[in-house]
Amino acid sequence: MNKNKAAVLTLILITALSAAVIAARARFVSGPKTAVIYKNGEIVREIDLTDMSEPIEFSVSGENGEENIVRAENGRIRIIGASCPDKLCVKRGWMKSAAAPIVCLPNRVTVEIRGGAKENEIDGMAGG
Amino acid sequence: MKTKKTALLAVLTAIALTIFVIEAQLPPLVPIPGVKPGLANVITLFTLVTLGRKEAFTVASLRVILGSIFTGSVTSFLYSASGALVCFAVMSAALLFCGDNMIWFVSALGAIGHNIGQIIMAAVLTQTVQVIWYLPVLMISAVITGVFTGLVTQKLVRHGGGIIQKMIRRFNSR
Repeated sequence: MNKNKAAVLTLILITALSAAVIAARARFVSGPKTAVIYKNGEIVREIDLTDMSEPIEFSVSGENGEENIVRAENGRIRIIGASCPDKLCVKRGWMKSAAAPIVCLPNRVTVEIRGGAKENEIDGMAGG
Repeated sequence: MKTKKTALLAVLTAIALTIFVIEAQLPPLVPIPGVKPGLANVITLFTLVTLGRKEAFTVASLRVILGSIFTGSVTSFLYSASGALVCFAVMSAALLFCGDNMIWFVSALGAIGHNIGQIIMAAVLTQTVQVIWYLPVLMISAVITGVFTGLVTQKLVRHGGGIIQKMIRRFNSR
């Protein structure tokens, strides 16, 4: 196999593997769908996203006056306001699965979803 | 010789810095931190291929330092520096095995290295290990943008590399 082909193959493999990890996290992370909000690496709040009748809105603020406003609804969560300059966390929109967390780098806030895979689809898969 | 080479590296740094600053003004393609074209790396890689490691390191580190002064903060400097450092190391190593017709591959590996460096920095700064779940997303983005900037560099080396090397040879002969 020549070098060029090997290089193309390597990149395709990396891409496919990455896509597989994203898809696997969205589909196979089992358990009740829970949102976990971190600030500076510490859990500030955990919300059960299943069967929420009322939406929850709350603020995650820090010592330097920085703030992120989080809104959780039934089965989904997002950041609706932030004091950071780029607002990438807000632009990210709703997060519905465990695929990839929402991160606000300037304010050191991470919102992740744990669980949420449809139980009947993952029968026979390792739970946890 | 030394003065002329310094001037040449200053010109390359200025080009890289201009690209970097303009790119920072563009609205993000995807609302995910770390996903961007990274066109300034074209100049780093071009310098690496045509002039050498020491010269490319100079241009890259000056671009990172000045770029952070112009567009960012201390935090953005840390992300930029960690990414650029890993990227530089990966590209230098990859160039030992890849010829001038595989610069696109060197660039893609460099972009992947860049994002791995940034994720590690992000995990350290936010003290949240969970950010590594961003890595797959960033890897896909790195392959796409890395191949693109690599192909740009390859064209640039093919058409402009000779001029730079001729200039250097002339500096040396005087």
